[in-house]
Amino acid sequence: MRNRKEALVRSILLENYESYYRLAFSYVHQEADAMDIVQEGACKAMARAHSLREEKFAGTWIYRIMINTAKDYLKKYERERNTLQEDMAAAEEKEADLELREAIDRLPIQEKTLIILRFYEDKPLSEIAEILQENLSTVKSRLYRTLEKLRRELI
Amino acid sequence: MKNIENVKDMMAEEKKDFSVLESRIMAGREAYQNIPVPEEMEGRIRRVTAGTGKVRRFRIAAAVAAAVVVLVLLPNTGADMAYAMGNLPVVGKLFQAVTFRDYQFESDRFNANVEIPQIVVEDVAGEQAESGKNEAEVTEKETIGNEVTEETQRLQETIEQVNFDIDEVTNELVEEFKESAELGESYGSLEIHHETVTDNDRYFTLKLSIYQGAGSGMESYKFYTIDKRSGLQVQLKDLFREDSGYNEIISEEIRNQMRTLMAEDEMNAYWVDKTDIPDLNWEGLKEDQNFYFDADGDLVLVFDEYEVAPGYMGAQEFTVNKTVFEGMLK
Repeated sequence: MRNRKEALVRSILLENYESYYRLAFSYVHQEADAMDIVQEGACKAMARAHSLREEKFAGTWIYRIMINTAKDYLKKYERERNTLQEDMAAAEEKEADLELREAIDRLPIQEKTLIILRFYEDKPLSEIAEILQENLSTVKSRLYRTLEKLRRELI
Repeated sequence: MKNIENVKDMMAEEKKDFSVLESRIMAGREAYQNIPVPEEMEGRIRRVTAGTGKVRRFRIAAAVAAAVVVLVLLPNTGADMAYAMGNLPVVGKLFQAVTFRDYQFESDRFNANVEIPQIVVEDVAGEQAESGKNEAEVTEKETIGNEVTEETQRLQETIEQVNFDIDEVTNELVEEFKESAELGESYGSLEIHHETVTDNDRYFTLKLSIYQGAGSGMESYKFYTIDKRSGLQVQLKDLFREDSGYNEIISEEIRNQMRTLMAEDEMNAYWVDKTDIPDLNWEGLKEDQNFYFDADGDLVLVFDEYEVAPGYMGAQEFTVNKTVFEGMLK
């Protein structure tokens, strides 16, 4: 039983590590930090695999661990974090809508996560609710509020 | 008149912008998916999942330690409260919400005005079960209150639980506020107030109003309802028979009220019959939807901001006449 859960967690991690990395990178804008976060999250997920209650929630459970790991990291290292500007200068990214990207980047982590999961990772709201351990209506209202906020900023 | 026209224009503009925004966000999708993942990442994940390459950091240990402290502290608070609330008389009881603690803070950019209530029950004879700081007094009461009925016991536990919940919710908000005030970045405010909205033969309902401001403000409400007859805290779902279909009936009644309000005034907007973003349509009452009974015995359903309507509509209340639901009550 234990091995089966570990195997499940392992396969999900291997399949999705790129998504976790991109999410982590969106929080910290630093390759090294993003990799640390994902590795740490993966360690936690493996270590706690046996405590996973329902296998069908393994995917959302790992996402949650990754997000929480990133949040802990941000809390701890907020002051040392690179700003987006420095990061943008370093990476030569061709992106048309810089204004929008900056606006999304300024969002609090919860709201940023919501936008990323919903629009960039194509997750249905019900799954996002599961990841964030919120009820669906809370997630919906937060999404609406976030969209409103973005719109205000972009006018 | 001109003003109204302007507002209408603005609202039309807002609606238009939403789809524009969504397509702008979607356009950024590719850029997001093209965030390069360093090759090193895969190897690190493989090492971790193979059971080697464990990274242990102090900060995790610290976070766990902090969590443990919190878990130890809170039940203690509860236990104290249980002691304090010992032996409440249940017959001829008088329910009251009293400000138990308050918190004020004011600086250039931060201000807080917080009143944290606790529910206190005393009997008509005037024997008060307040905070149990006076141990001698509590002991004395213990001997008096020998005949503890089942309801009394239940009521004690309920009050204790509700007070504990209030404490926990408000503490978290205050701590959050203190933290941001300490950091001193940006600005913020916190207001917490309480009010007894129902106190009839059957129910006592305490309303907690929470206003959190940081940039734009966010108001929310919590309602704590105690059934005086059973001594239990009740949620909306507890009021109705399970097979009554109350949720569909009352939800539809509220949807109809929304439709009427929207027909009456174009300024009103609710998330009902929405076709552009059907995801947002209100799905009906939650089992623990905020509610209270008003003075006429009608049921008032309370919705936080964004729960049933766009943010500019604020929090919403809908009153459902008792003729609609009377037959479905337990």
